[in-house]
Amino acid sequence: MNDVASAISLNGVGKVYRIYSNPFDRIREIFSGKSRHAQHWALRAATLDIAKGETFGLVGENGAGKSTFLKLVAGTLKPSVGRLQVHGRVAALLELGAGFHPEESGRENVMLMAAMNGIPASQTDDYIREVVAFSELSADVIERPVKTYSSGMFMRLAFSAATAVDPDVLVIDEALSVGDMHFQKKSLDRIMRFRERGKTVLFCSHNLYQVRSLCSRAIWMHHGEVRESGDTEGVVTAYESYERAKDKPALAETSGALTGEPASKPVRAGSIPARIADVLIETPDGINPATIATFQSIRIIFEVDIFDPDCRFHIGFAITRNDRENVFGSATHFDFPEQAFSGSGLHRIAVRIPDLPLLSGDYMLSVYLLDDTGLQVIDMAEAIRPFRVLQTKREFGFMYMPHQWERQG
Amino acid sequence: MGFSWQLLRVWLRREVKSRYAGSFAGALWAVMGPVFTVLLFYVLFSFIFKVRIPEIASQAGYFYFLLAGILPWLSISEGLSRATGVIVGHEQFLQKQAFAVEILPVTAIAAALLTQIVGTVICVVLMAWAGILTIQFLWLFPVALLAQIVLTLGLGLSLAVFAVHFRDLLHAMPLLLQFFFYASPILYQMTMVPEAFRGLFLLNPFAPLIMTYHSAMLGVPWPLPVAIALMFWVLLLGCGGIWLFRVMKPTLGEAA
Repeated sequence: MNDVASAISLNGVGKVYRIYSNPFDRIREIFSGKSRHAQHWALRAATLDIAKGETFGLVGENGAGKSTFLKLVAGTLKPSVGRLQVHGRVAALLELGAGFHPEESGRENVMLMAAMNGIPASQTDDYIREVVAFSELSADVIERPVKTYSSGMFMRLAFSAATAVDPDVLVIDEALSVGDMHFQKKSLDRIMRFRERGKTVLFCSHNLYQVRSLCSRAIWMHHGEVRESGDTEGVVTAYESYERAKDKPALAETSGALTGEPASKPVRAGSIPARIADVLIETPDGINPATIATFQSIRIIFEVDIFDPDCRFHIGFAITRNDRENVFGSATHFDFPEQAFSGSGLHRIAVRIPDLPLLSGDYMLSVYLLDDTGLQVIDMAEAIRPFRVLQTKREFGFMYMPHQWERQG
Repeated sequence: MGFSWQLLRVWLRREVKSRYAGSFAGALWAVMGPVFTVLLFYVLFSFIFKVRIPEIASQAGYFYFLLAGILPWLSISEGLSRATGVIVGHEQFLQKQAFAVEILPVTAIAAALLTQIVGTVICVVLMAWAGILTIQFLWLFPVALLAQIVLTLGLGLSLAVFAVHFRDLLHAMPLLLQFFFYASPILYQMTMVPEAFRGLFLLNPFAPLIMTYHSAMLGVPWPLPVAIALMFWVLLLGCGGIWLFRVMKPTLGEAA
């Protein structure tokens, strides 16, 4: 681990909350040294290095441990186990205006923020001037009690005070929508300027578009554990796929079980005329890679065993997202209705998809072996051969549509 | 963020200012509360129960005796009761903002001390004006004040942490404070207590403190057992309490 280059480093960091059935137990435990509590691990064994200057994303469901993670970095919680190091001054936007007193004036509250953030008395005046200027509150308003502020004015002042401390590490929890459109842009600009000046930003949001746009790397937290970590696109895609599958709980189990093994169960020759033996995805990177990049050309190869020499058949397939939405399907009898395949033995039939237009997500194949009318299913294998697509550009949605911008008039 | 005097100062100013903000009489309430309490007890005990303090050569002797004891007591009692609830009351805030948690109980105690000091200055001026101020034992005043500060800091800091884990303390505090008020020689003099029971009073940590204030302000003797008991309680509850707070501080932020 390189301590100099990393802004935040976690080594086996865990946070456990102790749950006591009886408040006396806590007191007894302190004096007896014997454990008298149940445990809830909000964060387990997190090992992670966030480099200086990196903008790092944090995604996950509610209750996954994101807030615990942020609070540990912000220093409002201490890790129960492991080693956590944060280099430099941290500003945490966990809750804007925490510690503001409604009866005190804006200026007095900003002075308190200066003291809480350890700004020396000699620099307090400069700090206050800078905060007030950024918040765009008038000299008259800043002397009024904060309770008289509109919520927009309050947030503007709180955001300004929290970010004017010139932090080395900025921790943001869903705080990007502050004030009106004008101020939102201004605050986003300030965060962008932090990035440009090589500051480290830890950014937690449910807005996956913003995470994708801002962050170079990310982690996905799930039930207190780091489920996935790495480049943002891969992590966010994995999380998105999980969310989609979760919305259809009945499917989540079945699709998990089908890991792309040969489609149907072994069948005795003669009981059915034909069966699907295997399905392969061929890409420039090899056969059945774990991920496929958008715009790679792929080839889907179907291997079909024909037992009955008189059998005439067609092949159909569908690309399905992991929530079983069909993205695209086609079949040989759509394109060649008069030319069914025939002949006993092993057939290899391939379909080529140039410049795969799928965007990031988890997908699967469904394959259908049909009779010569295309109506009767001889054999089928659904939700097999799962693969992940990762995009390299910023468009969003299911798939890429060719498009052109035009300026008219 | 760690402890800083700057933060303590700003937080204390907020504590004092915001307590009476928006009320019509403002900071006047800080004075009117104690004045009302003192007048009530004075009328009750001096005119109805006819308690006399032979050591003070004044018609209103009981008034000064009462002031000498009740000014520190009101400060102790307000400081401790506020300190006990102050971390519990700021639990949400402490989750959102890195903050030296000791600032909270320390501020509660310091704010109460401010009122006490203003009251004591007024009291000394009144006594000088009445011609009964004795300076013989006035050197004891800083001793008593220091003892009170250490004692209440130790108690206040550890009570504040205990209350987070053991909320019943919040309900027990008013009763405990009431008990210690009547168990301390504030309304009465130790000489009125049957001799056999006087030793028991040294088991009350606040009794020797109040007696020390009596000696400092009124020039009554300061017996050695009182001095020893005071030292003992300051070390045990004051220094011990500060130590206990440091031990228990890491348990904060886990109850959420």
